[in-house]
Amino acid sequence: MSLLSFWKKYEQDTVSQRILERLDQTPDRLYARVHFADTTHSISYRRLAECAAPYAAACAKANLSAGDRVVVLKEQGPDLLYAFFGAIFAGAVPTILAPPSPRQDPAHFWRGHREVMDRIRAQLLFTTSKLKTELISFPTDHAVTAITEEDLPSTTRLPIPDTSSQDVAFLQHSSGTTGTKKGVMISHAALLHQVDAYARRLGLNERDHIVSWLPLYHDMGLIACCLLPVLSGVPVTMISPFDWTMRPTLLFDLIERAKASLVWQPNFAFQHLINCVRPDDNWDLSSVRAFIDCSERCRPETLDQFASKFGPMGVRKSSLHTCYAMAETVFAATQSEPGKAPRTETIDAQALVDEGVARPTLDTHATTSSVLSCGKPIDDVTVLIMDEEGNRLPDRRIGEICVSGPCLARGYDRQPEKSASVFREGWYHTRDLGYLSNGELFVTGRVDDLLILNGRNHYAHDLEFALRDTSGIVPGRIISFSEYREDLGSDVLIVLAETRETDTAALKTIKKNIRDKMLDETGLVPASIHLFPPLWLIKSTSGKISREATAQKYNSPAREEGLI
Amino acid sequence: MTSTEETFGRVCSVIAAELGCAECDLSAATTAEDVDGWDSLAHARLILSLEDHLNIRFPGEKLFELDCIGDLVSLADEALAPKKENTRVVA
Repeated sequence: MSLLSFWKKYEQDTVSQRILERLDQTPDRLYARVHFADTTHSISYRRLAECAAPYAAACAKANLSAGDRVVVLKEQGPDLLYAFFGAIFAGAVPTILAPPSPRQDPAHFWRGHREVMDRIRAQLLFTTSKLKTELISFPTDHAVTAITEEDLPSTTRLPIPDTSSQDVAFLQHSSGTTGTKKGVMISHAALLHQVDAYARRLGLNERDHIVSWLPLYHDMGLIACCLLPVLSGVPVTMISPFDWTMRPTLLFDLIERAKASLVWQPNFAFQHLINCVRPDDNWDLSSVRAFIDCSERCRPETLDQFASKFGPMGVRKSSLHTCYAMAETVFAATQSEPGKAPRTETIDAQALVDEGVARPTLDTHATTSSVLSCGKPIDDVTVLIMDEEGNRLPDRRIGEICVSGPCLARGYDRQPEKSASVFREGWYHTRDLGYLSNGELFVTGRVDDLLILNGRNHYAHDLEFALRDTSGIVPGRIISFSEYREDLGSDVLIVLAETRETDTAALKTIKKNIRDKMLDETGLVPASIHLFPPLWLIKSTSGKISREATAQKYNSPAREEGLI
Repeated sequence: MTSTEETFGRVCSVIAAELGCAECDLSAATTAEDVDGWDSLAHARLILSLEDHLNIRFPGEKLFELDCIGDLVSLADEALAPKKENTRVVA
């Protein structure tokens, strides 16, 4: 499809209009079954419209103009969906932010969220009574009106939104600590293109049923398991991520009950299920035609273990899939072919590092690396590999993965410099490293210091900034990096710091301070914290601590010699 | 040895094995924040491992309300109580 015909097709197409069409055609069809607070809520298109209407009316009552920002801060239940869609129906631009985790310090939680609300100049905050009360103690600089369920006007009539396809439909906020969250601007046109193209690639049909535990403040949860279902008419069953974390096999209960066919989750979640299912447990998982591994590096060994462990329950190798996705392209840029197991390549690891080439090898003596294909680009999306000067690289050469197409985001909200650094001349520069082979994408690493932990992105320098004032640490001498743990199927966070202390009790206190600060500021728990004497961490020629060189030293015998 | 002391020892031994920490560093007052790598996923694996080792099932709704190892031991003792009761009846 040419760009012109694409724009023509999507010119007046908006999320609200698509949902209203479904409401008109199949008002009582199930959209979502949401398990929340020991109750199962079945939401049809009619119920979605009726329950979203009071939120839309609240936007109108607050005199919101089209495009005004609305923050949705609620636990993952039906009300979160109603608030999000209510804002969209009103022509406002909602963004879902993560609610506080049970162990998070409210002061730190609100500091990060206040900064986001101030930057995007949120007019309204749809939230709960508890969080509304807390907000009074942590006010934003910019006036934001908090609205709870009790404050909503009583109506079931939806307004007619004054939006066009090129308007921003919602903001997708990236993870990160204070000051580093970015609000990716997704237009109606980009979203609808993504949904249509991705539905075609997956061959979505009316017999499909999606099951999800993913949080809706994450792009995989919001796009694949909330918007794709509502816009394509495929029902979804949702549980809260907290419930899933504690009882991961709830996912299998739901698959069996709903005879679900599609599941998305990051690589660590496949491993968590492998680790948490007892040998004598049993479910019928044969209804799933695609378990899709996404949002962090897809590991062939994890999918092999998953197929092996759950094969007797009906999981086939051909039902395990991969996807390369990010909020900046709405969601999927590539997806492996349905019904066919994605290809794994065994390449020469030395050639990868020394020559920047992905050379397949059968040499059993060579150090090899197994890389899983993320499939081919979805319709109208182009994926290229570029070198540092922006030159296109041939097949099998390692470079930066760049994506172009009609589902590209409009940039980061009110952050023009950050937008300009990665959205250039129609291309989104992902900072991921990879190569192409016969049109299929293989992801091999990162250009920068982004750490992907349990499917969420965090910048190492940002984590170090969060720990900068930790008492007992030599100022500026702290470093964080990630390390892959095969037993977890994901990277874990390692923190190294220098201290002049030698007393055992004092060292324990410093470690506890680091742990507490990291949890409060970022919600992360380091897998290991190691303390070293001054000058153990390696500085680069620019005077900064070299993350790569220090990580290498950490993985050498020098670690044991230096540890205090 | 009281049943709580016995349970405490068994719980600490599972925590040490699951999280790779020293058993002697653990006390009833130890919290998840005091132990490297004790995040929500590790907590779930730990609960599963404790259930298998102690042959009990924890009530799901209480698993996020635990503040320290002492709370976990109390919860394990509660789950073990009916079993001990039954054992006495049979004996």
